[in-house]
Amino acid sequence: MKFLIVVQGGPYTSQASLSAWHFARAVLTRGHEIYRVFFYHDGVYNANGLLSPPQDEVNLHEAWRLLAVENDLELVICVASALRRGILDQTEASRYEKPLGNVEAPFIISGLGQLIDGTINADRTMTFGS
Amino acid sequence: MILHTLNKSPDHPALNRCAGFISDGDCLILIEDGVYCAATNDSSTLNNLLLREIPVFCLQADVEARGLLNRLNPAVQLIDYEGFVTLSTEQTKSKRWG
Amino acid sequence: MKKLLFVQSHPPHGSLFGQEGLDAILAGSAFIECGVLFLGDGIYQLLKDQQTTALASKNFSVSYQALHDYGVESLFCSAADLLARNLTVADLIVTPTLLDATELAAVLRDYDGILDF
Repeated sequence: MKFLIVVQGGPYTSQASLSAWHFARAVLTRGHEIYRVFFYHDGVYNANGLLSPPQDEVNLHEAWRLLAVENDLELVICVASALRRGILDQTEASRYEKPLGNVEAPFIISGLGQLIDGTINADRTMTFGS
Repeated sequence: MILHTLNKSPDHPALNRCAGFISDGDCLILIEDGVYCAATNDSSTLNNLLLREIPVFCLQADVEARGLLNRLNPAVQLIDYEGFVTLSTEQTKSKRWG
Repeated sequence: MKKLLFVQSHPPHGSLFGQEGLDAILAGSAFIECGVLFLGDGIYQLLKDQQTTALASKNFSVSYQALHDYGVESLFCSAADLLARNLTVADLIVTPTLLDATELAAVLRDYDGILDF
């Protein structure tokens, strides 16, 4: 089965991101496919490459990045949610004349069409929120 | 058939609201702070769902992290994340409450 | 997937769930048949006469009037939620269908997928 996982909670603000990450790992362990992970609302903060938690706490940005690289996952963050929260890749940072971007691959900035496409084409949608 | 996920403690109105939307054939999984809903001894809402034979599950990692392993309503079933995934494949869609 | 239900359950301005949820509804309407269910305090998003100038918050509620033009015709809310909040449909910027508990549960069953905000 193909899963769309929607993450609406910010890391270190609520447990939503951590729950979604555990669920995503279990989807893959069970032999299913992750069609896409879509980060919306405060969920876009997971894409911030500057997250620097203490070493004895899980780094959720790094956890998502590794899961995506090892399993070729699509991590999409909503552009409107991201920009207003200061989550920008280098292209957007240049466009808005900001000194730096904080988003790199495998996180991709895209539109809400990716959320709708996911709900239509995945077999199951699972939402995690604050 | 719907997998209802609930992540708020019984102090929050989510449990009562959610219960009104649970139909026969649906099931409920308590995650995050939702596991506290299975740790009180006065939850008529949860007991009514169990009386209706609605399957109610608790995510084990959330239960363990909160020190609730021996404090849960025995009619509630513990499952891990892989069990959570299996539940989501058995039901046709999911609804989040919280 | 034939029909997608969006559930709005947060009041406006205290968080961005309502505004960003509405953005998702408008996006969804371009691809698929959409319905919107307002639950609990979510119904406050539709309250008329929201004056957001002093707060400097976006009055996104006016965009609900455009839903019809986007082809989103199915709006639902709980009759009990309205009553509990001392509201009638005359207080709302658009007119959702008022449903009882049994009908509300049927709406969830009727749609192929659900997106919660």
